[in-house]
Amino acid sequence: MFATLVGAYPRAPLPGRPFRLRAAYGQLERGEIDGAALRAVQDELVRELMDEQLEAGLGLLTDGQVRWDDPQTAVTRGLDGFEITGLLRYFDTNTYYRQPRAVAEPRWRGPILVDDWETADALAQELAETRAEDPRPVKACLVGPYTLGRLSDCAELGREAVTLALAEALNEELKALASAGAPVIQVDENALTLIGPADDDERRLAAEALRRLVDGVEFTHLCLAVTMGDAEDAGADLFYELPFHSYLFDLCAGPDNWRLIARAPMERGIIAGVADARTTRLDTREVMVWGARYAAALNGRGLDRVGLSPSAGLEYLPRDRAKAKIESLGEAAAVAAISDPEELRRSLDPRAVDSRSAALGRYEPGHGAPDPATMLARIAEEGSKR
Amino acid sequence: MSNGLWTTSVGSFGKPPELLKARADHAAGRIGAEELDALARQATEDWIRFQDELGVDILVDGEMYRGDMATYFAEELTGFEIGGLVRSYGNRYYHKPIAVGRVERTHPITVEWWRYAQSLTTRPVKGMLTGPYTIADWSFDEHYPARREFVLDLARAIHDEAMDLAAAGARFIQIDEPAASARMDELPLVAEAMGIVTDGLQAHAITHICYGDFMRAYPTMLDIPVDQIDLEMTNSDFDLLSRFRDMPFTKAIGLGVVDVHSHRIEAVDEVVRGIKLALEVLPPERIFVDPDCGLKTRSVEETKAKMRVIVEGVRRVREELGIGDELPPPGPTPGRHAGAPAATIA
Repeated sequence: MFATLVGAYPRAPLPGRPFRLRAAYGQLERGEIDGAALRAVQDELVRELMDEQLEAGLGLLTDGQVRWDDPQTAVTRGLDGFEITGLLRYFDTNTYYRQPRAVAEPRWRGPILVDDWETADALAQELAETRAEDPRPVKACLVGPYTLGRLSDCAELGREAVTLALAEALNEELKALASAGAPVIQVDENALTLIGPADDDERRLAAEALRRLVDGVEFTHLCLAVTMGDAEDAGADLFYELPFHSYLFDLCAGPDNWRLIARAPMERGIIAGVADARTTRLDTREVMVWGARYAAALNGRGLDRVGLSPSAGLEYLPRDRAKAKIESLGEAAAVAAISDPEELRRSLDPRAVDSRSAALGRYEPGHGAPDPATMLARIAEEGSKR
Repeated sequence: MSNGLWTTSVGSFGKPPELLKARADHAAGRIGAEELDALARQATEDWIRFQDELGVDILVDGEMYRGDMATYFAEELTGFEIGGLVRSYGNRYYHKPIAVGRVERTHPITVEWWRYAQSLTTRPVKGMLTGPYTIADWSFDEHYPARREFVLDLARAIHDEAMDLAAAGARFIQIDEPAASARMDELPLVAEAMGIVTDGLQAHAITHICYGDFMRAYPTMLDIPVDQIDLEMTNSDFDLLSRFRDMPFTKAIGLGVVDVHSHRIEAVDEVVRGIKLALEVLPPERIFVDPDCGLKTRSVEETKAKMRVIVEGVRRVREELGIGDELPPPGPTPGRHAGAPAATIA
């Protein structure tokens, strides 16, 4: 049982702190600093965000994707075959991406994300030394070929040809990341949520693209992540006939993804996206713990193969709210990992575990039913007040 | 002679450096509201003079006194608190509002600024509002049990503001709904809310929608009860126009002919091309010509240069085709309630 991020993390500072990254981009645009100076500011932010993840108790770290302009161009800018064009809304968010246009068959010309992963991994090692802790693993993330193809302009070459060529190009990137030592590689395929029940051709294309993507990729843990909605219509077969070791599902924008989790073979890992990334409201710990333990119970999977995450990238939230979310996520993962039933019960709101408390609307945080002596003392105290 | 191809803008213009600095100083508590206000008024006057001299047909105040378009209104309505920074694209961030109570309008928000801008020119100045759906969509909601209630409370607030603008004399009122194209299943809610906003509004009502999947939103977007829909067209190389051939556009269009996210200044020929593409599917009296979106992300000089090519492009086409610049009659048009063409609904 562990907690981890998905997608991008807010890069704005906590309230009252200077916004160095925004200032650095402005300085770069005005020619006052060079790319290396911007990268140094980004590195500092990655360190800060990883420290925030460690403080929150997250077990698998990311660099928060702070160097990405947007999910679509982070990879396509590094491939041959694309021009970057106009702005489009990213799913139903108020966040935008520049749409890549395929003008020639996409080709891999060299590592795109390896430097970023190596930098993040080195920073994680440094942080571990500073904190006198064991280093936590850092996962590499990239957007998969189906989503890149689906959200790009492929009119000139045909989407199927572009998607399959993307899969082969990104296969090289996955191998490069694995060779560099990335212990976990997460492939984001949010466009699987766009597949409808009658879209057989889309299902076939997605399956073939993902098969080519992971073909021959070894010595790393491969995770397939889907956020921004329900992917149930993509079909359980698509997910589980592919050799991914684990799957991350958005369970807030896509509650029907539980049906996909219910069909996941027991040896595959599940990361339950239970902390709602699209609202500032804090999530209920009991619901997150229930999510983790339900995923663990299904098909006898066990808690060792389950993690918790936000439902999508937390960059849709202000930084202070995102920080509060991951802190509560880390706490929920710690509670979900408790093996002793009595201790677990004491860690939860009694209304979540005791039907009589629920019926009475009673809230007694931190412990279960009081012992008889306490109850008698309380009754006597209330009586004396009257 | 027919009239049409009126030039206008979507709303915001680049702020001059001294105003940007003053806004930062004000946020940090280094200068007071009066000092900031004086600079915003001066910048507004400069933009009105510029548009007047350039010969723009329908002017905007340039929104020198606003930051983010949703947050500005949230700050003036009850029921909101203003949250931390959230990124929208690249290096652009905004303070995302949080609804923590019932949203209500307790005072006019933009009317005095509109009066001031209009006092500086004899040409019409647009009233500029952000639509209820967009304010709701670009906010967090910690109060309302259902999204529809949130949107409709906002619609009532924005309706009151629109009515006050019309009463003050605004002939053109734009209610921006850039979020309208985010969720196809909520387009009916966008239309319902806009119906509240424009109910009884005796002005040419416009909505601006941008950066979404127009191909999917069309023709349902025509059900939004406004006289004109303003669309960014350059960003998608005018591809939506092709759909108007078999599914006619039933309202006036605001035709975006320059990219607002590029430093490059378009050639006049590019503007002419865009206008002529639109004239293949719409008559000139139903075309207003403007940038793709607000120009606030551009510098003052870039903003001016882009506006100049728009005005010059329109002038060339008007001359070539003998189109006049007399403004349309005031008030609502038959297009306001002309929804998607019946033949296309099936």
